[in-house]
Amino acid sequence: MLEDIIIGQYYPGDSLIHRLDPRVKIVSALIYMVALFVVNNLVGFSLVTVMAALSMTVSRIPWKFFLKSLRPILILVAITVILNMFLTPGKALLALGPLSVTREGIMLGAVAAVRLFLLVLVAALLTLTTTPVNLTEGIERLLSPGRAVGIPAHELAMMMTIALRFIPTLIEETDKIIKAQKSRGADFEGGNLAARAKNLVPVLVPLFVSSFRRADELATAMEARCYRGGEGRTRLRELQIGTQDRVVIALTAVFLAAAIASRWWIP
Amino acid sequence: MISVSQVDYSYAVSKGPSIKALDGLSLDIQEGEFLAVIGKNGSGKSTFAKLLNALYIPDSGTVTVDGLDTKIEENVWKIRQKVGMVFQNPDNQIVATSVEEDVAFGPENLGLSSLEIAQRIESSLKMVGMERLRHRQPHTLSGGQKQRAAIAGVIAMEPKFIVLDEPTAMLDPSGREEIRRTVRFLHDKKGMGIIYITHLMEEAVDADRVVVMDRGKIFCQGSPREVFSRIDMLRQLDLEATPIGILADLLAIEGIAIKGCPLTVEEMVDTLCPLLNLEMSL
Repeated sequence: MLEDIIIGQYYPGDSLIHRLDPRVKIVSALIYMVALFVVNNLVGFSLVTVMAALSMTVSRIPWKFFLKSLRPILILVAITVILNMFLTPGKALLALGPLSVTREGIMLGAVAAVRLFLLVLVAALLTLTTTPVNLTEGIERLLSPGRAVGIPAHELAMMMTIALRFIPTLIEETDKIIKAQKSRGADFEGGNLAARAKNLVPVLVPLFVSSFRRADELATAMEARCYRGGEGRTRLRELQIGTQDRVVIALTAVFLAAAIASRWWIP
Repeated sequence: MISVSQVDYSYAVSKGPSIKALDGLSLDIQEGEFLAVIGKNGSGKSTFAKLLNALYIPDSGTVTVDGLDTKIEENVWKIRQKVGMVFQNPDNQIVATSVEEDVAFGPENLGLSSLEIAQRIESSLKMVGMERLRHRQPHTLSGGQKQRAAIAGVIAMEPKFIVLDEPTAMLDPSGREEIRRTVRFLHDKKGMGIIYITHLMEEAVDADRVVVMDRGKIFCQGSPREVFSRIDMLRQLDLEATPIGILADLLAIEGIAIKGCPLTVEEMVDTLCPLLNLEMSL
């Protein structure tokens, strides 16, 4: 059960989007998300939908991966749509006892659903086309100007890297502990929810103890390899903004301008 | 040269007197030397290892690396560059999510240029025979491979000495063999100074000099041949002699004198065959 957990959801590929600088991807995705909430009419929504569909096509990632990313939010979207349908005042289309479905409600529900779907799709596009390492590095670089005001950009990135590095190790270890406890008669399947939660204690305690030991040893090993924090540290791969990246930044700017224009100049 | 003189080191223990791990220890290690340090658990050998690159600072006495005292804060950086360290648990010393990135970690800390880092990755992965695994994630490697990746990470900093603190304790026999071969290569072909901490006698056979530690002191030292021939002494220290050493001892009890203290199976064969021929001709 524990073997098939995958970290991140990177889908290897060599598309234009895969090759973009992670910083450009992160910023573009954020701008897109802002634009999603700026647009408010049919022209605007067509624009953001086309943009998302275009980017996803360019990434050459099979559609089923995007559909899979939507699954966890289906319930959320369903609730949002239903609440909007019934609770928005307006012209009643259908009455179910005291509740009535309004035209405005359907509109609002649809708008919320489209926004949520596109939001998740674009976030998925970002994580599907960027390795966790690149994502971390992008975040570090984007946050690094914030160091002046006390944002520990390097430390955050290092923590993320180490977390990514140790997730598989800890999963392996959890598996081992579960097997060891099972072999001594521990029962992880039976009982109600409370009993099951309680049964996990003999797994969590050794896992925590060993994690602290690991952390300690890792810190020593890092120190032994001259680690002194981000100060004066260089990188194997320096990120570089290329022509493609500039083009994408320009396109994103045009896209944002168009989204804003659609809201204020088109009735 | 690493010079350890009159070093005491104690661990503080909550509730109770501190435990003395090293007691007036003195030892010089020459550049390019292969030194094996053996001793049972608690003999102070790991503490000794951590003194060599300023992870521990002696309570009294001095440790100097090329004349740099580990006590002085400004030296620590340079010392850690000169003396690399490989630890017991391969999982807990790999920082990055790929072999290549992990080897880059040390050079990145040194502030080298991307180009220089790339070259160092190339050459150090080649030295440990891991060029093909450079993009692999650490958790997909075997124990021996992880440990070799860790060694590559240390070599990439181009140290003069590598301290290996029981590097094979968590490995299977084939992993042990990989590490043994790698260490020999680094010493024989690259002229690196090796300080190899172990409790397995077999792994000390390749060394130029063996130091036996007991209760924070050097009990005796000498060439592997000198040390391993003293089976009684090893037994007294609860150290297990090499299988070949035990065989020689048993043969001696049976009245078959083995000359020259063979260390490896090959040497034993070479020693025994003439005896056998002699027996048959009689």
